[in-house]
Amino acid sequence: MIERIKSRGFHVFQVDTSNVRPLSLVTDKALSCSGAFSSGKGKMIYNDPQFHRAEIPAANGITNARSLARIYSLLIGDVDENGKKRERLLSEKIVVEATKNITPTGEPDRNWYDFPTTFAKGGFQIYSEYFKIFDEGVFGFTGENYLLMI
Amino acid sequence: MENRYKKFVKNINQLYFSLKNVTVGDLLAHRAGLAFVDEELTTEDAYDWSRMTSLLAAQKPHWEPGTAHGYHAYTFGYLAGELIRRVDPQHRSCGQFIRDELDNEFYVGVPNDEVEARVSPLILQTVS
Repeated sequence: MIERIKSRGFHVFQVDTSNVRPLSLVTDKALSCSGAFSSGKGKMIYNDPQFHRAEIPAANGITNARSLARIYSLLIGDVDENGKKRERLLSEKIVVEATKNITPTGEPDRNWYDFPTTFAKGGFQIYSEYFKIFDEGVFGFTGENYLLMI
Repeated sequence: MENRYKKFVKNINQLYFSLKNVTVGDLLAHRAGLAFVDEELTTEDAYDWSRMTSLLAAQKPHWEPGTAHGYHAYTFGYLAGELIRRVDPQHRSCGQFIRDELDNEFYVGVPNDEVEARVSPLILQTVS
């Protein structure tokens, strides 16, 4: 990824794919929340304070790197952060269950260009042809524009 | 947390998801067939929690739940968040639940101007 810091802010790089693969109607509906956040509206809605204030859990989680790292760490074990101890959020058994693949091999994603995405039982993306990051056992999620949580 | 999870699973049958034959597993793995609602929405609709969850409750799944998958880009949050709200004995909103139970610096719904002032803007750059 190209890194260029021009101003204070979080730069999101968007690859122009408009000529590559046209959105199907269902993909467009799913990715725009039935038109509410259609990119055709030409506005960077994600910076709108009203957008920040609403609860849109799939799209407007706002936090800092430490908080996100803490949550993911708490999924894989107890955390001792400068003497502040917290017990893991889920038992190892549940994490194993939640990261088990339940998507049949090669099944096309009806809302994501028919790509063979794989989702685990708990909703995570896990190591696969489509999510080739690190190695077996990885779980996380590719975000829009390649933001990544692992 | 494990006990809570068990209770969570036990309560599922009382929820509206069961009316559509959608299991929690289907919902979490993007197999519910509820990736969008048929009607055209505005941003105001999307900011209105009860409107979104009512629309989703009335939506006919786009495939037989469990038989296919498709990324529920936006609806995942409303569906899972409403599930949390209904099974939580205190019926907290998804954002409140996350701050209380996961991390108090993770906001889904910025609560005040003080926090808003600390939100870094996203700057979009298109590369070809």
